Amino acid sequence: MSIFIIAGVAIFIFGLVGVILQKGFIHKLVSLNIFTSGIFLIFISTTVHHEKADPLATALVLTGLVVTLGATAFALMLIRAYYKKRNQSENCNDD
Amino acid sequence: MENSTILFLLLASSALPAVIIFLLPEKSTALRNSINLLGVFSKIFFVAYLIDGVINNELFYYKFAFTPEVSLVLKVDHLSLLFATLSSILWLFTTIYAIGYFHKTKNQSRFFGFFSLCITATVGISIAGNLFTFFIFYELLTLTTFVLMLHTQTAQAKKATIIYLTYTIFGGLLFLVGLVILHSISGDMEFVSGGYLGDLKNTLPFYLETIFILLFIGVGVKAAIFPLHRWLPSAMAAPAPVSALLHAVAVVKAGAFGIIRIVYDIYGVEFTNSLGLLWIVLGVAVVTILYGSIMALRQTDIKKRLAYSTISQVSYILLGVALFGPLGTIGGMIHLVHQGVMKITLFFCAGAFAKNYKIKKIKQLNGLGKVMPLGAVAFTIGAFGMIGIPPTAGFLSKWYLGMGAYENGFLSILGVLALSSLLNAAYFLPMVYRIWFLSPPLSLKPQKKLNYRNTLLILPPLLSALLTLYLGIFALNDYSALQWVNTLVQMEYSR
Amino acid sequence: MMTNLLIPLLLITPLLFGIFGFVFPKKATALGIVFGATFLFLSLKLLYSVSENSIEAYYFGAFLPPLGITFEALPFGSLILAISSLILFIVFIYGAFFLNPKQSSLFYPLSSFLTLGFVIVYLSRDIFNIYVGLEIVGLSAIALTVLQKDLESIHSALVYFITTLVASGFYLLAVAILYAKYSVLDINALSLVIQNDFTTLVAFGFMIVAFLIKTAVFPFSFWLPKAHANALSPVSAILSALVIKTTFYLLYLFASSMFTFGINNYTILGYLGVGAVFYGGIKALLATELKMLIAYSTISQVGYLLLVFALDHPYAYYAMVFMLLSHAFAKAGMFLASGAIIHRAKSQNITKLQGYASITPLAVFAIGFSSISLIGLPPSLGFISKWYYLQSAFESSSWIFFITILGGGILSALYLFKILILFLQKPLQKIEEFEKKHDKNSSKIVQLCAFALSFLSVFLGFFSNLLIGFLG
Repeated sequence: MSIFIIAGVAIFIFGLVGVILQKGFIHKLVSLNIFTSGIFLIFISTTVHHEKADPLATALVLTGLVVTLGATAFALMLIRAYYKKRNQSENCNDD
Repeated sequence: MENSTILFLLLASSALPAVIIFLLPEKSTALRNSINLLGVFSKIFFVAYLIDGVINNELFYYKFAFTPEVSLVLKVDHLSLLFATLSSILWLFTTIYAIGYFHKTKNQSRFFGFFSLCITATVGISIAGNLFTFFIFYELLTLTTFVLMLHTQTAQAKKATIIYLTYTIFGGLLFLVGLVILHSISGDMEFVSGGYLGDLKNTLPFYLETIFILLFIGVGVKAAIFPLHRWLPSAMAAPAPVSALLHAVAVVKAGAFGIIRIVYDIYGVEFTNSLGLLWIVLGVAVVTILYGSIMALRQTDIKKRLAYSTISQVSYILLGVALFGPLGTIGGMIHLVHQGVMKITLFFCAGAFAKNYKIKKIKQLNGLGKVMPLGAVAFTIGAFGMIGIPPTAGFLSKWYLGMGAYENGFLSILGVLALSSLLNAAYFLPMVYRIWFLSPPLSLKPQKKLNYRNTLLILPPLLSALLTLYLGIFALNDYSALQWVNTLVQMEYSR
Repeated sequence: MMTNLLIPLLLITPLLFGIFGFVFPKKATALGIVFGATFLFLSLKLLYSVSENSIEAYYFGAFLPPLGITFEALPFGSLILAISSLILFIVFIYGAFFLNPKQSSLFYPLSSFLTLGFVIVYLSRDIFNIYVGLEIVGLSAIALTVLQKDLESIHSALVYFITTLVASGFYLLAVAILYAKYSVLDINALSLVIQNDFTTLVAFGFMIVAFLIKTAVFPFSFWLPKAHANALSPVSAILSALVIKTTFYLLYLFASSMFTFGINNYTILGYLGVGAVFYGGIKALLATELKMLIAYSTISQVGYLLLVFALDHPYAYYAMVFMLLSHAFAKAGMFLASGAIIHRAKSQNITKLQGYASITPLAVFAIGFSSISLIGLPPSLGFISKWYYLQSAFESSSWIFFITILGGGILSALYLFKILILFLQKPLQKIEEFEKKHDKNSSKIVQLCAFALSFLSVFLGFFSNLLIGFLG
């Protein structure tokens, strides 16, 4: 199982670095999703007993996935509104 | 809690009118003035009630535990009433004066509201039973006075306010540090005649000295000791009623009162002496007295000269404290009352001169005696009191201070007193001379008749000038500051 | 096993009102006010029963830990919850007059959901449940921030969004590590089995960072000023006064109940606090817009809260609680008052706000009272907090923190008196012009709400003794 843990950590780090360094909200949001995927992977892979996933951990990760889904949807809506407004004001500024 | 209601009534007599005044619309002048005066008279009544009670050895006391270690204590003793009586009577005079001075001007609700709150703070300082409670009202005084300083809303007022706030907040901070350390060492103690710190065993003198210095600077800012005095002359940008009551009386006296409480009722004057701390007070007092007088000579603006005179005169109180012995103490304490009454007379007159004839500079005083005789008389009496000419109250204070100096063998201090009186004469007599003996410029026309505003501007200084004479002439009467202080001092030194 | 329904009611009420608010948007304001009153009543009832019994617990589904989720009302948590409900209620009344119907239809339901998050955070004993609570608080807060629909607000909301989600991720990772190691999620159970080893420290490290980010502790405070300043004023009040406190509460709770080894290791948090006090104070002094000034002031005051970790003295705890309470009231009052003033002035630029003491006197009074508590002048609750901090620092000879407490006071005096003096000067325009526009949004009631909160931040100082007795 350790390969999954290492992978989880790696994905976590990639995601985190992406959030910090990427420019543009969409890029950050994608990195954020990668970041949380890493966390979920770590969560599941560290709680495996006898080759089976821990049921409680699975439930928690499912909850986390749903939360991330909702948050991502909300974020996308905000980003869209942001860019729309920005283009509007930019267009207004070209007189 | 024996008899605590009267203490709240005393505070409410100025706090309640303040709240009501804030809620009143700007134009209800008559109602506002009536409520204000109602508060003034009820406060005087309550003070009289307390005086009667204290003479009969009644106890007026209230304690409220803020936290397990810190309590709010209200207590009335002889010293409280000295300050409280001064404040309430002068509040009466100043209210009458201010009603006249601000006649038909803007923002009166704000002014009278905060003015009443200032008096609440002052009275609270006088009835504070421990240093913590003192601090609460002391900071309240800062908060309420700074609003009044901005009343004229000029750039000059703003600058003066910033200087004032800088000094007082700095002082307040040091005071707080001293207070915290004091509490760490001695716990939640109340003011005790004769002090309580001397009884503490195993306390490093280092801590006691540090606390003293911190507290001294904290109250010293308000008492305008050198070199923390800078705010007072620039505070003259405030309108005359503010300068009169607050800066010549309430604020500076609160500072001096604080020093008295610290030396007599926390440390105890003998203990302070044994720690060598009275030398600090003495040194600061002497420097301030001389510095204030010298700077006053250099001023050309009337109010500024009076301000430096205040700086100098308040340190007489400190001098009295530093002169270890009952005579010096008496001198200092009666001067708390006398200087207040005399200085307020002078400021009232200066304000009246400015309002009637736009007189701000000393050289404009020529011949004022002919057109404003009543004001000129009041001013002269006040000036003579400052110099120390009998039979004014000022003479009495200097007499006792001189005797206190002689008693201790401080002949140099006698010299300082003599020198400062000479300096006082040097800067007051020319003003008196100009008023009476020089001819007025042609533009100075006499006031046709005593209208509403002028009466209100002239009556208070006349009353306070009369009081100056009364306190001097009838000093041996039972109802004088001197007799009251005598009782006070006997209690302090009998410990 | 308690069958008391108070705690489930505390959860269901915000949920139901929130849903109803969304379903009946036209009735949102009325529902909001009713909710505010109901929730205030319930949380006060909880506070009262905690003061009698000292612990109230509820086991959901009658499952006991480690499988079930426990909610426990302890003194500190129930006190903050009660304070939050009071502040919310007054802000709701303010909102009824200040917000337009479209804003109201979203503000009240979202605030209800926010409240649900508060209940979970302050009462839950399950660390994953707390994660859910944090997310509810975070998402509701972000949604509230974008009620103000302009470009700046959306941008600052997005920055807040990304940052807070990263922090939540750190927290979740910590939960994962702890669960993997100890197989329990309950705080009480964890405090019994937890050991001082590397993995646990890593987990706690992530948790601390998560809480620091969400509490906007310097140097993680970059997201706060714009987010709080650009929101609608009632939202700013809720964010600065209440939302910030949730994660600080968790930080303190976890440090004092679970990760109690090595109190000295937490001193570094104290130093971060020192940085926050001065950074926030200086930036507030340099601010040119009113709400930015108030927001930086929050960063500064949060620094004070962190000092509790560095001062090893029993009084430091009381100092921290009082700072938390007084700041909540003072900041909420200040933001509400600024809303009224800015609305009249149609500008946040401080120089344009000159003379408003004559135009909106009650609002300026509110800012004055808040300042008394924030600077720490007696007899306010903020002063008692500062007193205890100073005494703690003095008696444990922690001079750096002693100086910090004083320095912070000086800085806050500087920037608060600066605006107060400005308000008291002559107005830039004639007052008659203002009298004509009879505004609902800066009416007396609106200012009164602000004043009520500010007044409480001072007046509660008189209840210090009571609070100390309650906290134990």
